[in-house]
Amino acid sequence: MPTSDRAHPDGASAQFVALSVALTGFSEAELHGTGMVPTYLGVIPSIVGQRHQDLLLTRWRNLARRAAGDAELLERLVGEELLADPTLGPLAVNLAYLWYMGQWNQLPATWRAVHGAFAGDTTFVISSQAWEEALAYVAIGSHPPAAKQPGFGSWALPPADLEVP
Amino acid sequence: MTAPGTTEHFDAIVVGSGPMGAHVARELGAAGKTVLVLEAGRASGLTWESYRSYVASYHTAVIKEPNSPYPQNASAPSPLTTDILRIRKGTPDLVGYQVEQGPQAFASTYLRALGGTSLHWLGTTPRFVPNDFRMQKSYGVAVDWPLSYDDLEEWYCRAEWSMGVSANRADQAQLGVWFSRGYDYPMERIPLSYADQVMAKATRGLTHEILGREYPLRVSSLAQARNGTPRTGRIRVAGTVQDGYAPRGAAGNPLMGQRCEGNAACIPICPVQAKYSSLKTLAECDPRQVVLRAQAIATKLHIGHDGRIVGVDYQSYDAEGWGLAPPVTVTADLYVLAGHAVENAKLLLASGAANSSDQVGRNLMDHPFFLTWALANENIGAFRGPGQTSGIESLRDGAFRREQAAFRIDVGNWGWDLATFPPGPAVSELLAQGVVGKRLRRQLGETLPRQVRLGFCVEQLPQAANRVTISREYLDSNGLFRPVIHYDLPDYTWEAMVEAIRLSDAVYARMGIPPEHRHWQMPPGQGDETNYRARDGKDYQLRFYGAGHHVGTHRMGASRTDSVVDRDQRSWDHANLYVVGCGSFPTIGTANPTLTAVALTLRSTRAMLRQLR
Repeated sequence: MPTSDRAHPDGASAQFVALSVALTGFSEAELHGTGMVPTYLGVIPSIVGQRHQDLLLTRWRNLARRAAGDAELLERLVGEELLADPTLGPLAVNLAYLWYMGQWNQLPATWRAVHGAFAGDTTFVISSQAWEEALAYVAIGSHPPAAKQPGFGSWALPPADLEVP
Repeated sequence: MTAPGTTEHFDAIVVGSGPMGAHVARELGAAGKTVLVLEAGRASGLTWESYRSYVASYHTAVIKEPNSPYPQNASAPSPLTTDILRIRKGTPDLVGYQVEQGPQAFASTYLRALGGTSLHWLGTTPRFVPNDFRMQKSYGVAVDWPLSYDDLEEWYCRAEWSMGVSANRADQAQLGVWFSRGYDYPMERIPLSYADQVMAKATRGLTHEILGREYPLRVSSLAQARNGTPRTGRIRVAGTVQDGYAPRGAAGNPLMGQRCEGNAACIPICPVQAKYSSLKTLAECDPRQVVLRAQAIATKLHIGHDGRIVGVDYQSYDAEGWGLAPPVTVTADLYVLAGHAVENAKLLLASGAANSSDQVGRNLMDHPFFLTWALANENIGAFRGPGQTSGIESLRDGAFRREQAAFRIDVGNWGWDLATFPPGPAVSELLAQGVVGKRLRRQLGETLPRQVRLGFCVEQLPQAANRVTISREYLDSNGLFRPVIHYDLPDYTWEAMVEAIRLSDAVYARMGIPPEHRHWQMPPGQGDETNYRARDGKDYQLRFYGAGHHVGTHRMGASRTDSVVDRDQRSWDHANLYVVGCGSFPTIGTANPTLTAVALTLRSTRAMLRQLR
């Protein structure tokens, strides 16, 4: 999936990144910096179909309009409304988990009972690169085990300040 | 006499390519002997590229358990923790490779691959303390070893230099451990983690009372077979003088792994091979002397009329998952079983060998690994560095061992690792509560780096009924025996787990951690718990892991009536058969066993060479 539509705020990729920002608490630059945007943009479509991603992004546009630029309100709307939605909630949770752990989790049985069981919907780590870019480890001031090693003796130093901007 | 079908003869045949097999092969090869090493597992890992494929497997493994980097191999299967932890009391567990007869789950695994379990071990290498070798004489429990700490000291020195151990003498000289004059470890101690430093500071001067005696609790650095800063200058190692130490890097890429880089993945894989694995020792074998045959499963020893071993059968497979070729018999002057405590016992039992004492497979021990964990009040920098860089060693010995088990305490660096498997489940839990965005990021950052974890390697005593057996009922897909495990723990050991809870409370209290942030009860679903009524009259629901420290299945002793091998690890029954490794330990003590097994095995190579002369 091309990332060139970043220049177009209404493009699917830009909306996907904006939704990802609200879900993860990492900035657009941080998410692009992982190099995973093109891959993750295609994960939901490849597993449960483009239609579900379109529905997710439509709902996202709706919430973003209501928040009208208030980032805190937007985060609350995502947490309270989007995650509670029986169809879109599990997809949003999986998207957040994807960014944090590089892993797709099989959707809940209740979701599959309604929307069908898709062959690709199994629990798996997307790729070595996805593991190396797992943001949960950034959030806790560490690095994914067996990747981005900080060097000899680094563990003896005081931990870095984890203030979230 | 030779067995029929023989085509090849060697001075020695070694079964297994883990640390024991690799050391035997290297030493005998260096002395000009011809050696055949038979390895059941895949022929991979000696090149940098093949080793890196293990790292990629680890990255993409959903469950990052000890064998996760090393793909399951249907031709030579290995046990997985994910299979074992399903056990429920009173029901045999047949899932996976290892058959569990209970009553307790034997929750430890090993690896059948080139390099053996040293591919996934943590690398912790404390020495045994002198009383570990004389439990009967000192405390009136269990049995004594047929050799002492003093007998083994020079071999410890050699093993530490061969494996590359980073440690400081001053930190290790506790509980009677001594070092020969002029000796020092090849590398300086691995720096203590920031979390270690916090705990050391908080617990300074703390003591713990057991059965009326006070013991100091001191956080000290851990001896580790992990590359650190090499020592320079003249160091005396078992009679020879070394001029400094040159760290050994990765097999096939020796400039990699010259120092630990803080990958924080020692178990299950060090991506740069700064951690010792026997791949490094295999790389030091002289290929003109040592023939390595991987994907070759030793299935039977042939016993001659005079009681000597006259051949060993192996069956090979050309590709993982392919069936086994018919048995091939190879012969040698000496046979050395170095295939792990469980696999050695299996091969002896399948061959009807070395068992006149009826001790083969019996006295299986492990360190039940008991965890406590807590949430510190401030960021202690968890999830950084090697799995452990310090420990509390002072309760590894004491008069209380007459009544209850000793333990080694490891101070974990990876948060609540085996207790709650962070960070994945913590992310899921927050998302389930609708916590997203900056709140999600902030809450993870505000809690996980505060996670403290103590792990207790608890001693257990040898019991004849704790054992490895084989049965025609339980075969793998190739028709070869699966190990059948019977395992239980005595009150001696349970009581020490209750001690661990009391001790942890005192340590966490010193760190200012309130009771509601201290834990020792695992969430449901992680194995079965056992109700134990302790000396204090209270009931405790206890749950433990295995430490992967399988010992005791071919124990050494002073008499052929109650042991399988002598002090040289030579079979009492077969003059040209050695059975080496952790299975030879009569008791387990509290030290992680690999270093002691390598020391014993290096010592045994002297007897082997004497016999081959």
